[in-house]
Amino acid sequence: MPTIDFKEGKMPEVLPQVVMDSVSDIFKSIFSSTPEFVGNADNKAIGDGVVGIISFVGDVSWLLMLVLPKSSAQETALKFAGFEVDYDSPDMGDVVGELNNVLAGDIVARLSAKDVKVTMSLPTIMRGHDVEPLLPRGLPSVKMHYKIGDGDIYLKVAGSQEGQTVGRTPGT
Amino acid sequence: MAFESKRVLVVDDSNVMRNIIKNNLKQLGFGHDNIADAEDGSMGMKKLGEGSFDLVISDWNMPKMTGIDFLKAIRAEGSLKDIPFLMVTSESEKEKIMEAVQAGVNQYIVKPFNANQLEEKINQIFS
Repeated sequence: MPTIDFKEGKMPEVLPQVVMDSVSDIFKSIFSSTPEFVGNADNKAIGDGVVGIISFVGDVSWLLMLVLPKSSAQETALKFAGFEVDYDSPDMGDVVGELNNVLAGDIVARLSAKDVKVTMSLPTIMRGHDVEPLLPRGLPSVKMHYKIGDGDIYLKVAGSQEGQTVGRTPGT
Repeated sequence: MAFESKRVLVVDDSNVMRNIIKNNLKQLGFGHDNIADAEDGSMGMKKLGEGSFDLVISDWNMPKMTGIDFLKAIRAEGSLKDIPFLMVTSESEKEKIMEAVQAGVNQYIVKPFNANQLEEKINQIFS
């Protein structure tokens, strides 16, 4: 098994790379258009949005955060679900959770193919203004901005520590 | 294949995913009144006890009772053990598929999928 850790506060290249590979394949399949990587968004404030977080534990502990900003959430949700979803409804949380869940499942398989075994949590949903999970100090993170059609999607990859994960284990 | 009279139970903790699957099923010709749903495995078991079904379509990753535990509970229940079961999941690892096959799943579909891909899996179950 290749060693993946967050030594010296650095993000191992493999994590953002598998996320980008998954985004490219999975979102193209869901939205029938290729997602455009706009760039790094580490210092970008997102404003109002719905956030889904999935934790991964196993050979490496980390989390994946997906944000749909309010400005384009309804349009993105319509493309995903095939029916209108109100921004303020619980269903918008379902959409964000499901998008994150589908990505996470693909990421688990991609990491497994690299002999890195992880299991994923159920998604945790939050909503609000510039919502971010509180991350442990000294662990790295990378935030990426994508455009799908006219809609924006943000993804954050963050290192975490064993036992400090977000999200429930399936079946609990 | 005519699906109009087939009774289906859709189990997923996400209301949006249940509706997406139900819309796909209607598109494939399943009767509106023949599609029931439940939000997790334990609610699914309750629904199965209330009526007869020709097919169960269930998500894997759910709170309370996962899809795999739901499948095992069905296969352990004498009157329900032969119900065809289609597992829906976001995880495509070989180990996961093997686990589902060993538990008695009839078919397995990885998200994201469309109505045509769902139809293909259902046809394989009923053929």
